[in-house]
This record gives sequence, C-alpha cells and structure tokens, in this order.
Amino acid sequence: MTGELRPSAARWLGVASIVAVLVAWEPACRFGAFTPVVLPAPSSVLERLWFFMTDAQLRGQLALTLQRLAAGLALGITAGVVLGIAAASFRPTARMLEVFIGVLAPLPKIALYPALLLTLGFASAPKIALVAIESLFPILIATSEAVALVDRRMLWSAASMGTSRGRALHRVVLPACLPAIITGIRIGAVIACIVVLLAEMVASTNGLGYVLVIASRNFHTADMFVPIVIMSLIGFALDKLLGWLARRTNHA
Amino acid sequence: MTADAAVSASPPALSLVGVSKSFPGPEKDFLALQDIHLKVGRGEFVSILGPSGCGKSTLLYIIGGFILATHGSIHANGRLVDAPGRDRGLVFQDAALFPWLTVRGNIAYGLREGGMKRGDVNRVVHDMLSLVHLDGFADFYPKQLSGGMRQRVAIARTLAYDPGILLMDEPFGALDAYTRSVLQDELLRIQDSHHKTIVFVTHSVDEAVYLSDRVVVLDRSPGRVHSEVNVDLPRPRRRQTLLRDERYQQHVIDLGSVMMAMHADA
Amino acid sequence: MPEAAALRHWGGTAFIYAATVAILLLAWQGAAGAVHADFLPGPATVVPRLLGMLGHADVWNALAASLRRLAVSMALSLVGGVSLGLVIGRIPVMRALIDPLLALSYPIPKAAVLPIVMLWFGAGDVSQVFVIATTATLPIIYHTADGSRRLNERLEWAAAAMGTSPLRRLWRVVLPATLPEIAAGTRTGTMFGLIVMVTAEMIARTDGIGSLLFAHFDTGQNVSMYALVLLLGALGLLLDRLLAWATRHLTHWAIQ
Repeated sequence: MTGELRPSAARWLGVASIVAVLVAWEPACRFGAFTPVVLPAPSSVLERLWFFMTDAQLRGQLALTLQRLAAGLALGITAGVVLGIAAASFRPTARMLEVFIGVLAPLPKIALYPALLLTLGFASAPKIALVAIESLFPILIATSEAVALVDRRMLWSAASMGTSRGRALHRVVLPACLPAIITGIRIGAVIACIVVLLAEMVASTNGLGYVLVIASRNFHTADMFVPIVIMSLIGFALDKLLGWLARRTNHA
Repeated sequence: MTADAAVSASPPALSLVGVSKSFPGPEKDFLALQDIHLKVGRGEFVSILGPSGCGKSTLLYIIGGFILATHGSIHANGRLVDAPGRDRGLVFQDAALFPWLTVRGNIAYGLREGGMKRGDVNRVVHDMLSLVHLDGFADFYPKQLSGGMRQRVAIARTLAYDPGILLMDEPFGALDAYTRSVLQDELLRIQDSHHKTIVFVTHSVDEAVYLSDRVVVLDRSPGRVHSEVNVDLPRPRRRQTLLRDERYQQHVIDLGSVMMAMHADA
Repeated sequence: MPEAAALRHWGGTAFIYAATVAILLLAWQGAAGAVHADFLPGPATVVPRLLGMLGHADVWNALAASLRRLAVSMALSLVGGVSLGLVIGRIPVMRALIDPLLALSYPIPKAAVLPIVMLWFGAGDVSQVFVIATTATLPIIYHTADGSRRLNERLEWAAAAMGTSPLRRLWRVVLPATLPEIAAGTRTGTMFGLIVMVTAEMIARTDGIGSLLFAHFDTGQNVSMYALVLLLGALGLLLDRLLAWATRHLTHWAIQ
C-alpha cells in the first residue's frame, strides 16, 4: 500500500539530502560547534584535497597506493577467476573448493598481514599480497557459484556441436558466468580499495595510508580526511563502473 | 433467492455506484475501470468474468478497500467502504499464506486478531481443517503443501473468522484441471452450508457458470460492465447432473461467444 | 534407504572436509620448510603453541575483550540496521533521501576512519565499537530494506483484511516476512564486523586478539603470533557456522 515515487522525484530528493548534509556540516564547523581538530569543515577538507593534488610529492604517494591496488586486484581477479572456473567445473574439485572457501573465507584476512610482513618484507609485496587475498574470496565465491549454475543443456548443445570439454570452459562457461564474475570483482574491488589503505596504515613508510597516519600523529584532522575521501571516491567509481559493466554483459 | 421480499428492505450486501479507477501514467492517466454499477444480494454468488487486463482484479481490490476508487462509492452492508475490514474476506490466486506460520497458525491468525480466546481458536481451527479436508495437516508449513492444499488453507483461513462477504481473486486459476474441479465442488458444498455473499473473479466461462447465481461480464480498455447473465440453475449443484443440463450448456456457449468476440476486438 | 544415503553423504562430506584441511595444513608445512622457519613456522610448531597458550589467562582475556566488543557492536547494528532498513524499505520518501547517502558511505574505509573517531571518543571501546558497528550495520540495512520492499503485497492485504492495523502489520507481517533477509544481512555484517574488529584492535592497540597479535609481532614472538592467526581463523569459522545454523533454524519455513 506504499506508493512508489516517480524516478525524477526520487533523484531530486537524493541530491537534496546530500546537499543538506554538506550545508549543515559547513556552518556547524564555521560557527564553532566543532573545533577544526575534532571535525574540519568540508571546505577546508576540499582545500587540503586541492593542495594534495597539486603537490608532486603527495601525488607520488597516491600513485604508489594505486600501483599496489592495481597489482593486488589484478592478482586477486586472475587467481579467483581461473581457480573458480577450473575447480568448479569438475565435481570432486568443486566439493573441495567449497570446503576451502568454507574454511578460509570467514578468517579475517587482515590477521595474516603480520605474517605477510614477516615473509615478504616491509615494501610493497605484503600490501599487494593482502589486497590479492582479500579480493580473491568474493571473486572466487561468485565465480564458482556461477559455474555451478550454468545450464547443463548449454554444455550439451556445445558438445553436440563438437566443442571439446576444455574449449567449452572458455567458449561457453566463461561468457555465461561473466556477469556474475564481474559482480564478484565489483565487491572485491571495493574491499581492495579499503584494504590497501589499511595495510599502509598498519605498517608502511609511504602511500596514502601512511599520509593518514602522519596526519593523525600531528592532529591535522583535515589532512586525515584527504586519503579517506580519495579512496572512497576511487571505490565509488570502481563500484559504479563495474556495476555498469555487469549490466552490459548480462543478456539474460 | 428465497427470502427476496424480506431482504429487499435491508441494504444489499454490496452496492457499487459509478465506480471508476484511473492510474497515473507517464504521459496521461490510464483508465482501468469506468462507471461500474453493481448490486450483490445477501448470500448471492456473483462471478466477475472478463479477459485479462479488463480490471476485474482491480475491481475486487477496490471492494476489498485496498485500492481507492477514483470516482464513485462502494457500500458493504450499508457502510461506506474506504479501508479493508473484517466484513470482507479475501482469497488470492497465490493463496498468500503467511509462510512463517503453520497451517494452524495461518487459520488462527484472523481469529486471534479478532480477540478470540485460545480454547475457542483451537476448536474453530479444528472445525475448519475438517471442513476443507486437511485434518492432520495442522502443523505443516505452507512450503510443504501442494498448490491445491494451500488454496484450501487460504479458504479455511478466511472462512474461520466468518466475514459476511468473500472476495475471491481467481482462487483456482493456478491449479491443474483436476484439482480445480475438486476445489470448485468443495466451494459449492461450503456455499450450500455457509450461505456467504461471494464475489468471484475468473476468466473461465465454465467456472463462472458452474459456481454462480449471476455472471457479470467486464469488457476491457477501459473495464466496464458489458452484460449480466442470471444463471437459473438449481442448488445444490452436482457436477455430473449439471454438465448434462442443457441450460448450463447454453450459458457456457453464449458466454463463450461473448468472450470470443471481445478477444477478437483486441 | 534414505538413512544409508544420508550416512554416505555425511561420510563423503566428512572425507572431503578432512582431505581439504589436510591439504591446507600440508601446504602450510611445506611452505614453512621453504621459507625461514623463524618467519613462517609450520603447523607442527604452531598448533602445540596455541594449545599451550590456551592454558594462560591473557589469551582468554583478549578473546573476552574482542568478543564483548563484537557482541555490543552487533547488538547495536542489528537494532539500528533493522530499524533503518525498515524505514528505507517501507517509506519511499525516506528511501529517496537515505539511499544516496548509504551508496556514498559504502566504499568509505570505515576502519581507516578510526584515527579520526579516536579524536572524538578516545582510543577505547567506544571508538572501536563505533567503527565495527557502522561497518556491520550497512549490510543489515541493505538486506532489510530490500527484503521489506520486495515483500509480497498480498500478505499485507490478507492481514489488513483480517483487521491488523498498519503499525501492527510491521510486527506481525513485515518483520517475519523479512526475517530471511535480515538473517543474511546479519551474517554478512558479522563477518565484516569481525574483520573491522581485528583491524581496529591493530590500529588502536588497547586490548583484544588483534592487539595481542601485533604485540607478539612487535616482540618477535612469531610462533605465538601465528597461533593467534589460527585462533582467529577458528573463531571466524565457528561464528560463520553458528550463524548459518541459526539462519537455518529461524527461517526453515522459507528454504525450499
């Protein structure tokens, strides 16, 4: 009995609520409800963001974080998709993969970070590894579930037309699972953005996470917001992009 | 209609005057129902028959008070309808049982909402289960039942709290042919003993003639009353005798050609 | 004979479980042999250490601190997430207003906000619970909103026809009908919460398993550190199984 709003009305209300939050936040800080150390005004965060983007040294920190993000995510996607399709396509390995996921997915992977630091050193490698491990699981789960749901009759049709079993993985299974895989990557990508920042915060001497830690030690609250805003925007953009891609590839 | 003279002084069970319904569209409003006039007597079984998209379900939901009419008024037992009420019970095509409640819980729901005491609730639930031949299924959950059994529970749930008017929205439309005829016969039997006022929406000509005292045919775009047919067949009705009855066959043939003509127009 | 089939199925599952866990342990032991044993001790060293550590109070104290933190956060998330989810799912205007804010807050690294939150509430439980609860609340909101929005309208109509008032319907129809979704959201939320709990404890370094883990790392007690990783893995697995069982138990009527 609840009537839906017209889409245009809903969009305007959405914009209005975001504007309302910013509009309320700004004067609350300007007129002293919060001191800048407790909560800086959005305008001063924006100011610091601008400074950050125009400073070559700080842009370098961003580039480093992005490299780690890209490398980790690429590893996670490759491992997740290859392992997911290969293991889920055969019954015994599919059951083993299920158990593998069941046992390891609930482990808070961040707990492995100290171990990664010990074994891989303190440079970029442990951060890339952690990003890869964290993004692996949602992609692996999505891929293996999608493979299990592929309509057997499609495989039978392909086989009857002479497609070999190995070839069918890439000619039939992969395209059939693509939307689900992209949805898995979408979840993994947002997690990856978060994890790369956390890894740099917990142990690092460079990158955006380190910038956040330094700002925190000096009580430069506006500077603490900058890395968070940047990573949130990157996560937001990746989420939207992959959501669009998942819809584009979904022909069902 | 045995007590026509006595009833005529009191208001009809249902009375619809000039009911119209339009839904807002992106360009212009869509007129679903136009100027519907309908009176249903106490204890009368009226079918609303029409092609898909003629707004017959919408009409039923308006009588139920779930959707408000754009124009016109509806009275149930003399009272203006502007909301759902316990005087009008609904049976939906998908049964709409509460899946988290057992059969017993579903049938008891309306009784508890009416403030009935636990002991009485148990007694009524027991009676209802035997009425719809589901003794022994009290502790089953809806997902464990077949479509026909679910529909029996839905009918029992509605009969249990004893609304004077039953509004049935293609209740047997999703069932297989055999189950459908079994449930039709059960509904006839229940009607013979309970004398409810029933408005029954269907797109099946046979079903409408078989069950009803009167069939109201709706045309579509916009939905409006096309014609009305009194089904002058005696009750109690038995399938074997009725199917051989020439009057039954003539009604089915006549209404069938009306429906065919409407489909041809579309 | 369904019993025999069930038994065979159970036997098969148990075998696959045992085989997979054995392969994981062997892979770990093998990797330990390949890497320096100080940096990556194998399960043969770590498991006995964990059992030994369980005889001391500090592991139990850390575990108690962590679990208390998680339990308080989850209680807050459940109450807040279900309420807000129902508001968004049931009231279109509220959905239009709140949905975009949620979409913006989804990619924010909540644990990374901890240093800022610590400026407000200090390094203690309040700050950590704040970030754990905000993280865990989001999936509960999403699932509750989605479930209560997609609810079969006929169920509500049936209740309305039987005299249930709109407010009462929220309790008697909308909430039970949404329960499977709420359970799914709670399961995801708890797993997110566990991750953020460990992260928050690593950053705040007050108490809890995450804090103890890093304390061992800092002092070079690597075997003890690995033992705690194992403990966290067991904790995650146990929580996940527990929630899966509770979900099955509470929503058996919805599972086909």
